[in-house]
Amino acid sequence: MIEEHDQKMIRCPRIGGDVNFKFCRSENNMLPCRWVVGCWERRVDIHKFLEEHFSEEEQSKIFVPPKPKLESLVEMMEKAKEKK
Amino acid sequence: MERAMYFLDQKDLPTHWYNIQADLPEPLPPVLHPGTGKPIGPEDLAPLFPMELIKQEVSTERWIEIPEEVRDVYLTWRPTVLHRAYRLEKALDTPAKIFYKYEGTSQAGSHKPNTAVAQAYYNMKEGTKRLTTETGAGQWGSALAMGCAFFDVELKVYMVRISYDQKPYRRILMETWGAKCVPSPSPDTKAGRDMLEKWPDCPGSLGLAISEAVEDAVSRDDTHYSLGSVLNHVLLHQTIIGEETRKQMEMADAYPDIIVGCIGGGSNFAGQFLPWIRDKISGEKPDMRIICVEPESCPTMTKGIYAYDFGDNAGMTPLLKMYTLGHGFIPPPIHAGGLRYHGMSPIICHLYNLGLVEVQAAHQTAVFEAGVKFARTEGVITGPEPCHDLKVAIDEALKCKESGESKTILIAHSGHGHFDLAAYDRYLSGQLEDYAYPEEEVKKAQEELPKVEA
Repeated sequence: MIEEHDQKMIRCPRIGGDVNFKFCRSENNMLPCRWVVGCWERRVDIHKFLEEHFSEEEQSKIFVPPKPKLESLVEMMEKAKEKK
Repeated sequence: MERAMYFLDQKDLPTHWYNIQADLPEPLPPVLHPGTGKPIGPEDLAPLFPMELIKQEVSTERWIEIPEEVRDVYLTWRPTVLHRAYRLEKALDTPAKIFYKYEGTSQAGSHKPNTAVAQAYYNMKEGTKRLTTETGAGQWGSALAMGCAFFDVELKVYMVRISYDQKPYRRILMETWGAKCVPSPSPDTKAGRDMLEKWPDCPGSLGLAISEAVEDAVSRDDTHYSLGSVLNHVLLHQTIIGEETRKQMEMADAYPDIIVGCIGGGSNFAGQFLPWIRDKISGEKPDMRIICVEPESCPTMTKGIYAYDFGDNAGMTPLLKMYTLGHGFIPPPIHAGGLRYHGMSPIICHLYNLGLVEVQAAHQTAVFEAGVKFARTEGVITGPEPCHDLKVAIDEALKCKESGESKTILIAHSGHGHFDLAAYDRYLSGQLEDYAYPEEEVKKAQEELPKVEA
């Protein structure tokens, strides 16, 4: 079941604090964080987990990288231009 | 008794930030817009930042005056102290002289207020009534909250909900300083509402918090957005650290042979070493070593290549010329949030390319081992990021022990780890694991680099 590892805790380097596996498998618009493999592969059979619970299409979306601050800056620029 | 602390009188607080762009042997490569491939100009940034910050972003003036109002606020915690780490030296039995400039004594506990205060000021000065930003566990959000409090600028911080719920301490700091801190997703933006409708219990994400802060900022004419790392003007504001240190090292009759600091967005270490590197560029101190430390598990620069890559993982941001692993790189876990950018400050990357700084990587268990040694000798509980500095500084000090050299090592210590004790707990209980990213994965990611004209 997908909740199997939900209570396991890890420190999220992006957030800077502890999170549970449930967060990591769902924080990317209800898909796993793209760093889920690196963060969890020593504690969870993460490749198997992904294959069991996410389609190939979903997996391809997972590894579209997250949006760091710099990207949000440019997105904001574009939106601001449109607004003006 | 030998002197262990060097206090700079408040009247000697630096009056100017130092701008490395004036002294670069080669100018920074331009930032390219992902849509057009052309350099981004000030007009692109104008809706987002006050004009003075935009000017600073592209300025090539060597010295930029720190406004008196900003200096007045700096004086509430600056100058910070330069320490001589005698106890660490003794524990290592090294002839090296180890100094550390400690930024953990700011009210927010780190170096971040150096730019937060300046950004709040320039926004206030140009009529911005309100700022927005995002925060993970709250380090940047709390620093900006303090900055805004000093200049009576409203601040709304979108804090990732899981941290908002689980780690309230920095949220409480923000609220105490007068900021409005809301959990993201929030009902206050379309991005937040859409997510809440889809998933009422959504724990949030950093990406969503950014989206909310951006949407909020662009939806109001009185509001701007604020960023706490990476950009040139952020690094500029941090150079007060190094300018103070130069004066304090002079008081100690010392000059660094080696300067060590961690790099992520790069703002703290750049703030320390940029004021020194001009001596290396000028040829006055050609042998001075400036060592940037990054996690072995996320070797952005030690194994990266110099190429145009997207500055973000989704390939949407401007193309920045930077050392990178490619935008497909997936970093493994480490306990240093600020070091997880897959790219970093273009200024640092440029200096690396020019051979003016070097980069070393450190394993996380060794990093925490150094942090614990530092705590047990100097007493300071160091944040996970600056623990990287300590590791390499100790390594260099031990090399001095072997060689008998008495080198002077300067550590750029960005702040305390009082909100990071869970990471120490994991180290102390033996739960940390080292992880080095496989070479083939790095190579594969690099093959995804976009091709643009140099």
